[in-house]
Amino acid sequence: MVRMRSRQDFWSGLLFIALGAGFAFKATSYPLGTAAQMGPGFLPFWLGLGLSGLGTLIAVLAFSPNSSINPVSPINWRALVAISGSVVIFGLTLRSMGLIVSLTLLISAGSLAYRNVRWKAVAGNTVFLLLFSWLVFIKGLQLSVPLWPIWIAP
Amino acid sequence: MELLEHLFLGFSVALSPENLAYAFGGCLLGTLIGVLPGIGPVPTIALLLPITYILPPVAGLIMLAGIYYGAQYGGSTTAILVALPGETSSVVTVLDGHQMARNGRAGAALSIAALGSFFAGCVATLIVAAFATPLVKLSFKFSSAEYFSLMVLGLVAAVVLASGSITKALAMIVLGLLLGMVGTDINSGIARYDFGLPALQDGVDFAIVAMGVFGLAEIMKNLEIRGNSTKITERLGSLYPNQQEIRQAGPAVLRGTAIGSLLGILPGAGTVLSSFASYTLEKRMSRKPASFGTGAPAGLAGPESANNAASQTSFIPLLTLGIPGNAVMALMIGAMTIHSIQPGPQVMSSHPELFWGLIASMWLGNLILVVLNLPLVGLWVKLLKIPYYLLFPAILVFCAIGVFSVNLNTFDVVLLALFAVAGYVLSRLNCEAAPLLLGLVLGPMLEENFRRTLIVSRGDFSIFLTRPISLGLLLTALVLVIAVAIPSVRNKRDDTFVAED
Repeated sequence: MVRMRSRQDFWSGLLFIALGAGFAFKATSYPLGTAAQMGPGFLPFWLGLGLSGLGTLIAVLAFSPNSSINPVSPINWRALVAISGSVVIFGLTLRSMGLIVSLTLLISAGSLAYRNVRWKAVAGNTVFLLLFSWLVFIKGLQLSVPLWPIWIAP
Repeated sequence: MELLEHLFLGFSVALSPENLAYAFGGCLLGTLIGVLPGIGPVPTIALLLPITYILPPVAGLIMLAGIYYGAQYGGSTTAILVALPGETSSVVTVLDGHQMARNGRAGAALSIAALGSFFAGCVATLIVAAFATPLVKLSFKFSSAEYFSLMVLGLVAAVVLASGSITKALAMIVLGLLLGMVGTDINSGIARYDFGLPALQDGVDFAIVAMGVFGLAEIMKNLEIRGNSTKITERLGSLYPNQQEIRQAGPAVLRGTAIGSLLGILPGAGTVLSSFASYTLEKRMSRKPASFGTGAPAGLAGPESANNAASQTSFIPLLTLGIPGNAVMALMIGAMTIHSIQPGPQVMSSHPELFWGLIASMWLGNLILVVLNLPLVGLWVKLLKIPYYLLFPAILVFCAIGVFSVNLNTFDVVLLALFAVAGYVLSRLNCEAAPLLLGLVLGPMLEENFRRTLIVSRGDFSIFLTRPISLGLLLTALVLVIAVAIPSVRNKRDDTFVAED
């Protein structure tokens, strides 16, 4: 019975196989062309196959007695969801709600990533970062973005 | 005396009040962010990149270079005072630098690091200036076949010299190359992998990927480790090294500069390799090798000089050939393209003021950092005390607004979140992100040269082997791969990188 030794390698191998296959499959919908007259699908197709090949190699070697035993590092779901979620919220609200509101949402939702949230510190930090962003991005860099929600702004 | 003329032109550009101010601002901002624990040069540059976009090209690149040196200096300060290296090349600095700090010689350690780096920077800048012209001349012999082979060599070297699994790093490069294919194909006008989204037709902006995988994914990683408070050396002691320290550090600086200048030119992890190589050399040369790891000035001075020299000479492949040797240079290339400067050998003749101005500003940047860092050490110590729960929301804000400001597109912000998740998942699987970024930047260039070569040869792949320079480059890449596959070298490589943990 062959035992899997490196779970990290096994799963990253599978990930690379899937990504490579995806890229290669999509490349077939573009003209492939020939080596002398390459179409837009040529290189992506072969690179995609190459990535799947490397992925297979990585996944197979995960069973090799020479590879070190390592589990996949535990995922910090709290940080993952809070950080990426807050950025998505920021992206979706920026245009309609303006910088002040969407930054406040970004900072408060993002702060949940830290286990012992200290709301007083978050509030202070929010005020500071709002002032700072207004000074740097609006006043300094002249970023063209609404400051307040569209229904309040004149 | 062509060199003097060029340097004169460079200094006249770099010394203009405006550019001097940007160089200064870059150094200050770079140090400010680089000093924060756990933030190395790549995230620092990714974070500050959008600020430089609105500047004129010369000023923008000068500022970016300043940010790079500043971030490296800041990283050494953190390594010495808190033993928290922000990047792999300052891991070595911790070994003896932090020990010196614990022995009450923190001030002297900071001075040795700063002065050693300054000396190395001066020498390396001269080397860059001297080598630029002949290398540019050589590169005009390059056709698309040579460019392709050179990029392959660069990518292979990046894999071989990086830490961790070679196959995984290769896969990350290929994934990066594939991401680089997203967007409109310049030859046929067909939009690839755009999923019908107009924002993807211009391709994936490398700034988004860099901020996602280096900025945000890094926060998620740090939130696990951090939390337990760190010990900061608060008593700095005298800033002046004593005579014995100078005697030991002096020769180490000279040797470190030589090693660093040489290895920095190599594509790949030149700065990392040079600090490790210098540390090993100093330990071998020392009469008291046992003192290493307990606060030996030579063990600090050598690697610090080597890594600064290498970070300077790593500009050589970028400036002469337009090929980035590491992730930082990949970011520089991206910045050049945004200012619509096509990186490559023609930059020297088409934008001489940019080319020589950037080189002259390297030296100025080093000078500014010595002047800036030593008096401001007290301020950096205060910065180090900012708790991480206050720090990470600031990084979050910077990344989110920064990405938005690149194209004024909110879709990019959502994409940023996607790359943050991808970067975090990949890091859980122990896949390094730097090769991905290098692949992403090189992808379009690689494809362009590959296709052009094969059009010329009518689809005959042997053209890469019949042109002598191209063959030489590919053989070098092959030798590198074989060398790493040999068990004894492999073990040695593993040992070197184990030392960092």
